[in-house]
Amino acid sequence: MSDDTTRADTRILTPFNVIAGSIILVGLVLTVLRFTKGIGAVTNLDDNNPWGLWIGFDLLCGVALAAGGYVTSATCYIFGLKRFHSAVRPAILTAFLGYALVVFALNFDVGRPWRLPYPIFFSPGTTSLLYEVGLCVFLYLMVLLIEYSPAALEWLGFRKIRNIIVRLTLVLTIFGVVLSTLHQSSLGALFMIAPSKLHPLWYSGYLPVYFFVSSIFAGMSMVIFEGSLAHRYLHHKMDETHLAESEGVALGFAKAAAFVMMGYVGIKVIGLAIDNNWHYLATGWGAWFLVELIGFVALPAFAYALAARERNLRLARWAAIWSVLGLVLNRLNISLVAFNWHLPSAERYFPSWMEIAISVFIVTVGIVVYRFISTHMPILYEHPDYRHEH
Amino acid sequence: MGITRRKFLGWVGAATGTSVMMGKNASAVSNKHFEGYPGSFGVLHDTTRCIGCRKCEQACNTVNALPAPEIAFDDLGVLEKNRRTSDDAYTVVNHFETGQGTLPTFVKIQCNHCLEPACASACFVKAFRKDKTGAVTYDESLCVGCRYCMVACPFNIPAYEYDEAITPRVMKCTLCKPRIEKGQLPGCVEICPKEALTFGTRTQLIKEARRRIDRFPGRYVDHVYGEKEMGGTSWLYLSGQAFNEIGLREDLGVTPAPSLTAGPLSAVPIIVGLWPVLLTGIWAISRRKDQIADQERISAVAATTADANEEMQVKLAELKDKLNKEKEAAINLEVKKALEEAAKQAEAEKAPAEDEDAAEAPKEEK
Amino acid sequence: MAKRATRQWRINAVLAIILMILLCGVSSVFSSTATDSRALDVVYIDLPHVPGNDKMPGVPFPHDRHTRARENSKDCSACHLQQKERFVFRFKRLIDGTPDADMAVYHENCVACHAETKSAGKTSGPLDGDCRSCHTTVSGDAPAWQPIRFDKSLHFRHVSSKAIRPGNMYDDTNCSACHHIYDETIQKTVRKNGTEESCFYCHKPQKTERSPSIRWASHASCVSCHQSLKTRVRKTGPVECAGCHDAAVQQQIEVVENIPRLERKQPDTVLLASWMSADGGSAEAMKKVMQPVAFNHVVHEFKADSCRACHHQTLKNCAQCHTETGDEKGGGVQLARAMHNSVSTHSCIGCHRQVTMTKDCAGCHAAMPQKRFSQLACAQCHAVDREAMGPFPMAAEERTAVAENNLNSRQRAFMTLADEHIPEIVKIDGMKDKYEAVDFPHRQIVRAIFTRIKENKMAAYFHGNDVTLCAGCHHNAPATLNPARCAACHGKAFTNDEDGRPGLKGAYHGQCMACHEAMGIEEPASTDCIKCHKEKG
Repeated sequence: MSDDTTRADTRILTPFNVIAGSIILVGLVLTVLRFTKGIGAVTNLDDNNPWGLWIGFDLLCGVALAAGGYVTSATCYIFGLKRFHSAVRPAILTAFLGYALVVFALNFDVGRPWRLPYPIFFSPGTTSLLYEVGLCVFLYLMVLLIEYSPAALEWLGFRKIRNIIVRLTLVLTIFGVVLSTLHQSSLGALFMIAPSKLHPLWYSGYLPVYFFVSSIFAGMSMVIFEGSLAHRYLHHKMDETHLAESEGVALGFAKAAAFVMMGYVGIKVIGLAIDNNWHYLATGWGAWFLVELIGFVALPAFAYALAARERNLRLARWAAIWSVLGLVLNRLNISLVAFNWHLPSAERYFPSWMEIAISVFIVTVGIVVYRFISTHMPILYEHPDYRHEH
Repeated sequence: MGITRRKFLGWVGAATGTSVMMGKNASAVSNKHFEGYPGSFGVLHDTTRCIGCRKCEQACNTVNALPAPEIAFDDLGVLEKNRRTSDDAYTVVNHFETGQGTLPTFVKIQCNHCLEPACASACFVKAFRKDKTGAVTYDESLCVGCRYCMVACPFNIPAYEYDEAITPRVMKCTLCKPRIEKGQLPGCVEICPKEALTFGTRTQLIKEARRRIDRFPGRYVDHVYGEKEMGGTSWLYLSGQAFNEIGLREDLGVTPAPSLTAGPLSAVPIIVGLWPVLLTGIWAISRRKDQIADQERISAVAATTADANEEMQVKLAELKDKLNKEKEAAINLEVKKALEEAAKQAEAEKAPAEDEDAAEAPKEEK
Repeated sequence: MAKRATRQWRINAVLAIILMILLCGVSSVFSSTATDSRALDVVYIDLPHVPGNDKMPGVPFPHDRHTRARENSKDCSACHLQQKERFVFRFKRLIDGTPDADMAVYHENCVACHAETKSAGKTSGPLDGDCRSCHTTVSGDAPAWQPIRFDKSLHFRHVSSKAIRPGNMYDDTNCSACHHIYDETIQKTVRKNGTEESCFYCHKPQKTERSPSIRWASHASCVSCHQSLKTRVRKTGPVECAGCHDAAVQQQIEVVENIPRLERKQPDTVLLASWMSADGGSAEAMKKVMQPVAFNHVVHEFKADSCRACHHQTLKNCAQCHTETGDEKGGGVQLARAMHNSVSTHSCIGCHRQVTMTKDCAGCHAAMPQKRFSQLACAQCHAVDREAMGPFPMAAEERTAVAENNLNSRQRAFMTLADEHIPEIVKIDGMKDKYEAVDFPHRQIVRAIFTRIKENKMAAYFHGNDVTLCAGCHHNAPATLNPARCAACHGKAFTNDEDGRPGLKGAYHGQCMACHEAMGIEEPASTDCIKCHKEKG
């Protein structure tokens, strides 16, 4: 185990390092450009399209895909399914990194990022759903930091504080679920203020419910997906418990996700029926809506169900990637594709390469940090000193 | 691991605090309807009077000290393209051809100063406020630049200084609030040569609009745009054509923007209150399930142990019994033997060595 | 292991196919287009639905194509049967039968003819089994289709035609060739001179118990007649759809100017005083009514498109239906309401209002509220002096004489105001902070207005005296030679006037620009400030 790490550390010009390094380099250059020439210089945003890729992908998808944290910890600690225990730490770490990156990305998108604490400490706009999102994300980031901290403390050897924090696990988990419920749903509710801009097939009074429910299966899918990545690239870091439990975690979540996703399809159909939007299905927008709902929710749900039934781990992992893509498609549809649908095509938004580059840069930073932490701290294995404690 | 009573109480307190803080928003769901501050001002734009001279654009530019435009204000060729408000123009006039033989229609757009503004409802730092003059004001010293106001505005009015690196602002019409407070007219209204813009209190303007429709039923569509749209706006419009033919959307509805998000906001305190209880309940159930399972295991082990002991005792007793019986039988046998020997001896009355052997035999058996 | 991999591969393949199908669906939805293939001559054949039958869509039948295909046959008999020497424009039957029977008529005859044509080696229509070639879902009128207006010119050409013969041998006019009435007693149509009315009075848009629809009636009568004349004279009316209904063809229809008055024993002048029509009236009754109106029927005949412009239901006089207090016959509409309705085009006020919205008049009149009546305006029409009436009861000729006298007395010289009464230049300096004072060419403008309406008899009649015209601009006050200046009423804008009057700047610009727009005066453009206001040097 230790042989591998030493070797990896000594070699600097690995393909991973080269690619990640160059992306980060480009990202840094664009960052300088963003903060010297303004948002207009690096983005295709305009007055009609004030939110672009950085909100649609970095914020909406980032938050939804980081839902694995609360889903896994709730499964393990609240629902008491101890066999998911080994998945909790990696999920919490991903969630923590995910949220940290969301906040990091917001620094690019908002006009005056140093004022980001304003809504929380200085002038709270309590009528705004964005305020609620901000407050919850801020608090949840704190919660995640505390939830994650035992790993760092074990690494650093602070046994006493670590033990105190571990005792808070249940309270933190419940607090985390409450905050996640609130802000995951509120991200959807953000768009409820603009019924005149969002296409009726996507606009619904149930937007918050849709966002919350989809975050659950997105979180599960991300846990499965990350698990498969970690298996491939960080196999040497995993202890026996982790390896033994990982198939159960993946298939357990596959089964749960299949149920949640079918439920999600159900409530989406109910939403259609309540607003009587059936006739839109016959239009091009309707076809696209069905591609999203059937092609990227119902079908992966079916694949999940099949995988769980056949105990087919490979299929479960493919379904996870499929569901994650579906989630991304849904968030991009709501924030970019179906938003401002009535505008002529010349006034519609498409991201510039620099926006995409910055988003890639942020994701890369996330991967690099995750790799560093999971190769150095007890994430994928239990620290020998604290084994068999729970 | 579990939570102590004290921790639980502290945490309930925190939840209550949050819900009280958010509680304000929940009141948005009610049968109250805000009809604007009494005596607040507005402007009535009679599009049948507008000639498209762009004087209002010019006055707006001067009054707000905006940068000079690339194309001069007296160049009316600009009107051929449909425009929207931008960071250097709070108001623009657009030109619409509405059917053969009729004269073109010109429509001035700017912030409509909603009675319950979407931007103010959406702003998470309260940078937008509805002033009692009727103006929707913007405080750039609070603005973070999230641009949710621009997403929220149903009229697509607020613009952003995208090219400003450090201090970008949201830009929009101020209703010339500083001028109104000094008793002056808004810049555009003052300069309009045709009184296509009428300034007054909103109540008066609605009356005036209705009076015009009543006097010239053939000239106007029987609708005052802005009286009800999005809960009402301080700018009102009259038109000779269908409003959606002159760029004013008719599908916005009459629901004020804050009501659109009132539902999700009012759900916040409920979730804060309900979720922890439910989740703790689930936790308690799953924990109890585990505990019961544990107990059952322990008692099962104990029961098994007890059973085993008892069986052993019985077996031991049986063994002892058997041993005793065997011993007795052996003694009896020896006694019998001895008696037989004695009888034999007595019969024979000789050889004392044989007597000693018979006495030693039961000793060995013990 | 190998089995498992195959199975996995199969699942993936199935999922991929489903996704492909979905994507194809999307692209097909995005690319669907429809073109407008509706032709001008389409007669839409759509029989009533028989319950229980799965109904096919109707058939858009291209009539002119079929007419041309039968060119060598002289008449319509290939498809239409004859009754009393006239074609019945149903397909191969005289009256409608049950939907099933009619359907059989269509199917048998259409297909038979198509088959025959085909066997003759020509291109033919769809045959048996090509159901959807005829039964398509394309329906509705073609964009170029226009209703034909049988205007005064067309009417006159029919009246004056030598080819047309009257329906009754002894008539000296053509009228009875077309005009007929329904005789209740013999329950038949009869032709009787002097009873002519408009076709539309009986033939409504939809057929009634007694009369076929206007559509049916006009095709049956006009097309039949044109067809029959074709054999006798060189020039006759159209028989093809496009001949009447194509917008481009309509443009080429010959228009006759200076059409003489139609004769139907109508009066030249009418004294509109319904209160005396029955018994000749009485002095006592006169005290309780409005002054009578002297109505020039002749002049209105020439100005109106047709009799129907005013007589919307019948050629009888208005008061027959619109009684003084309202009657069921007139839909409960009182006479006064019928005459003064500002929205209806059949009423006096409504029609006159339309005239005032024409370019020559609209400069002043467009700015006047639509529904406002003033006492001054009433006397414009109700001008017959009560003293001139009597003695009662008045005979019809006496009444006509009163009306004629009144109309003659109002013939007067128009626009005789001398220059000295009209200021030549008015200085306007309301915006002297920005511009030089404007030299407003007052007299030039007054003269321009005079010129535009000098020849207009209606204007001469209604602008009681020349000063009335001044009130076009100098409004809301009695007309005099020395009206108040604008600034007397208009001052600072938005000063809480409940009457919504504009400020001085708004009033000037409103008056000048609105008038220029309404009268079609393009120079100076409203947006060209310095054409009127010289910039301060």
